[in-house]
Amino acid sequence: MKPLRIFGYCILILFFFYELFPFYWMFNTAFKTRAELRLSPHVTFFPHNPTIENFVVVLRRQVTAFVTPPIMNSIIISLVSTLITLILSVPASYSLARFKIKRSDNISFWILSQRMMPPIALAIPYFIMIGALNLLDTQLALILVYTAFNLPFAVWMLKAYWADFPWVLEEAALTDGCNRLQSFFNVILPLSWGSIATVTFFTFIFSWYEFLFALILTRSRATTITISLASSILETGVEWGWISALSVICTIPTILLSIFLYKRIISGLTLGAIKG
Amino acid sequence: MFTKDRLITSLFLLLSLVLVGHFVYFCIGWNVFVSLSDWKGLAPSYNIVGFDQYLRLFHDPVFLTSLKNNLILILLFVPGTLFLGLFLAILLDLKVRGEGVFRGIYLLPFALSFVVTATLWAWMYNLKIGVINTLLGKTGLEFLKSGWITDPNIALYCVVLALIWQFAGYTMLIFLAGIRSIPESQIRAAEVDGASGFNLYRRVVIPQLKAPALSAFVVLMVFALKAFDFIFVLTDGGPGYRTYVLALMMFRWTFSKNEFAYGAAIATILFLLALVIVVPYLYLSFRREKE
Repeated sequence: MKPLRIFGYCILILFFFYELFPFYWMFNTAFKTRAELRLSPHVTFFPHNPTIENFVVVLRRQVTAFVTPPIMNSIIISLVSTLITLILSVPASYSLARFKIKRSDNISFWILSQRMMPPIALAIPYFIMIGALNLLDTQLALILVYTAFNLPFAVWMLKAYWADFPWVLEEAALTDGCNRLQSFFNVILPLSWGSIATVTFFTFIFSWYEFLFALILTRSRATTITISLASSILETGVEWGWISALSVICTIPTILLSIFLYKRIISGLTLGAIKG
Repeated sequence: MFTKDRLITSLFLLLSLVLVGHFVYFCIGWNVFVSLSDWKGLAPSYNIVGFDQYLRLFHDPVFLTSLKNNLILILLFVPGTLFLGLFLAILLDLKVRGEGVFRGIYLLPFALSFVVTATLWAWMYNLKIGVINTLLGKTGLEFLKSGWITDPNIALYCVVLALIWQFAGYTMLIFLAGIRSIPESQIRAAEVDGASGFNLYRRVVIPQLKAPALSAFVVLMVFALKAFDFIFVLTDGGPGYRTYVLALMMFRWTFSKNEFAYGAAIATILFLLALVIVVPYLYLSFRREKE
């Protein structure tokens, strides 16, 4: 068993580096000076003169090269669509979980099946619809589309979390004279903040990372951070320092939020996958 | 009071259903409708011509190449990611030190945007100054140097390698959660019966991983069908049409060439392919939940 164990560790460490390397390389590149990046083939494993120059340039370009900085667009679109998703999905999933709704399984089925559909099948209708509403290249267009896309998932996820909720507590609050809204804010919410935070995380990240609809529905005023990243690879071509810096900026919200919600995100990712 | 609360919350549910009904199901129908028309050019045309676009598709070499590439993705990326994930999960289950660190790092790529990972791989695969070629040059493996994603013979495999990199942590997580949900008593009982190491996993653990394997399988299959962002940024379908996939073709034909009806037909085919995978799975899992 001993040699087998050592072998196992070797494999694990090998894949550790495989999975980590590109991520490390992104940081390594982002903090290098332009001159150092041009040094190739003498590749360096740590920046010799670490600099934030790339970040400064990239952030300045966000302001100068676009009508509205794509980062700002992404922040506004992601926050607003996440907020609307929550406002709609919390009562909706509460109603699914709490009241005996006929065919609630079927409803969840239709809701969930949407998440698995190729979004490209919706590209043309969205393009026509947003065009007809005169919303092409506006933040509102993406807010609308992302909300419609996130809503089913949020409802399904919250419903799954609330399936095991100790509803007796709510009954007690109701008998004590609370109305349903009071009991919701005083009893249910304090016990479910973790679930709601996880749903918030997934909906926010979906909007933050979304690419296809942003590509189709925006041009210059409402472009998002992923579009600006993808276009910078085409425009600047060789400026890998800038591209890496923008990649780091794009990744930071996820990493920060993941640290706080790590355990919950993991259980969220495996939700519905293990039962059988 | 009870019924009033129920009414109000149900209204939100109804609103959600209406939104989903419109933005998903109605729009999918709309897309099918467009695919039956002759809409070409910027001005919408809803002249219904039937299945002409579909007939055209099956004589279009780009469509056939894209379809083939999607199939290659399915055949290489899906099993590759599943087996690697299972393998890593089993290794991690052997009471490894620093399990949490390994798990966190394996999951890291899955937390990145496809656009970010595609730019990262494009940078590493770069012919002249990419880290892979530079390292090969440094270690005397000069002859292995390659254009990677610009080499027509291996471009698609480079895409697969990068995608496995991104998804392996996810399948590892699903399998590990599946392994951990097997009751300890069953493992003990098997150990008492003399099963150990390899046999324990083959006879006791792996057969119980059907549910997680199936759900990971469906997620990966659907991804292999709908893949767009990653390939759009990494290779843009090139060199030539070597890494074209259906979603990319649909985008190019619709939004660059304005062949709306034709693009809609490609989208419909993608939708139908996804349906074939997703519906039986969801049906099975919801029926199981009811029992």
